[in-house]
Amino acid sequence: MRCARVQERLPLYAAREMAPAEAAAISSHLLTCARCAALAEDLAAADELIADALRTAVEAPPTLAIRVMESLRQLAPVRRPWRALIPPSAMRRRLALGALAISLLVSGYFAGQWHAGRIKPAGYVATREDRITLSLALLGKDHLEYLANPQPAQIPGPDAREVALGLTPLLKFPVAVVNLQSEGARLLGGRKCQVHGVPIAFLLYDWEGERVSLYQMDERKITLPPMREVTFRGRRFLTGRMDGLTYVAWQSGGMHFMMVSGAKLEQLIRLACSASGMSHPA
Amino acid sequence: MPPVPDRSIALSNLPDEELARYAAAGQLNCFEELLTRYRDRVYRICYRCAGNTEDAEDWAQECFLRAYRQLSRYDASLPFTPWLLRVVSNTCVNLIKTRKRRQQWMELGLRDEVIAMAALDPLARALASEEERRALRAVEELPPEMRVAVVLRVLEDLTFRELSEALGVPLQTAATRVRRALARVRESLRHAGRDAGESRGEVDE
Repeated sequence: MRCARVQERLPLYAAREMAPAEAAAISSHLLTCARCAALAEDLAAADELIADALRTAVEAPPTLAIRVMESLRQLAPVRRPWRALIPPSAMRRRLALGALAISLLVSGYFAGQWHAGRIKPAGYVATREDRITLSLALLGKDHLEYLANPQPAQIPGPDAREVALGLTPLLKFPVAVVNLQSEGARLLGGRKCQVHGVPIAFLLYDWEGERVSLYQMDERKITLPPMREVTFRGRRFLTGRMDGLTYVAWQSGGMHFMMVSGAKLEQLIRLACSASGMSHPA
Repeated sequence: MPPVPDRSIALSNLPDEELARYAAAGQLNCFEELLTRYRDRVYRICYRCAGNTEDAEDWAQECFLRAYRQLSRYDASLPFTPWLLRVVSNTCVNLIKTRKRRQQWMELGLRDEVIAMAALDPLARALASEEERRALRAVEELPPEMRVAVVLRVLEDLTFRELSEALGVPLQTAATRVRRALARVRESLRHAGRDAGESRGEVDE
């Protein structure tokens, strides 16, 4: 057997994925050819080293499945793969039946919509499906608009407790007192704002010249868009960066908190980490 | 109407192929079950192809979305795993190529940020030895097709026959790809070892 052929077949030989006769021929070649034997050893060593380096017990973050399923739910209504399930011979017979079924489904859907709309009880709590997904772009726009055109705060700072107590009756949910004085961030004030028609508490801080917005919203009304999960100092955050703004979100006591700023992620996440430690309502 | 799996049968009892058939018909809960079964494996492959956790999640998401979109082309009489791995390997090769193109245009500031993010990655920090780190770097520098081949063969322990199916190439091509990749890694480790030796020598003087 020639060296070139042996070298070509070495991986399959090492993996014992070849006919015994060919394996025997390569074995005897390796006994007599030092060059091919050295190459075989080299490849085995590299294989082992890469295996050690690559092997990892890493598991998919829990957000992966949520992100995939949320994307698919948005995709799902446009899929019409019925054809794949019906053998061509049965196609025609079933077409008429299918049309009937579809018309029943469509009318059922509209009837259901009407019915659901009419019988919502007074204390209706939004289910996961009808919560609104927050748009980061919209929040970023609100942050930038406020910076460009700062109106006097509804409840002026810097006393965090006073701001939280002042905002709570306006928002109908307990607003958390987040005093970031120890981090060098001064609370300028707070106001009520609306995103997608959902009332949101908004606190604005001056952090060594950088403006930082902290939005608080009821997680029963609004859900966060898919964002990257980062663990920092043992706490979980969702992060995002878009159009020059950094977003860091966390969850606490039934509320979503979202910090928005032009600061870099590795800086903002430190501030968010301190804030998340004190995001309990007044 | 697409057949609906009998509610008395738990989805977890259905084989992958059956679930894929229902999922192709729009049964999202069946796709969700496949996602649960394969998410760690797909994420692991993406993590090693991307080289960081930040991209890994995005890439894994892209793999599953592509798999879902291509399900109507899946033949349920064939095993599901090789089909899925083929979608994953194609997706990873494409994403490595796209990222390479994008990186060439990336501003320095953004690059700093990416590096800073990588420093937050506990997995990257937990890496055992300097030699393993060098091996990983060498794998990351392989051309996309070789890199994906090595990750599937070494990390996922695929046989060459399975690898050839996942890559959609003949058996000998898969073997050659892996052999070349191993040789390259070996070569760059030798270089790195020499460089490290030389720089140690300079310090000693």
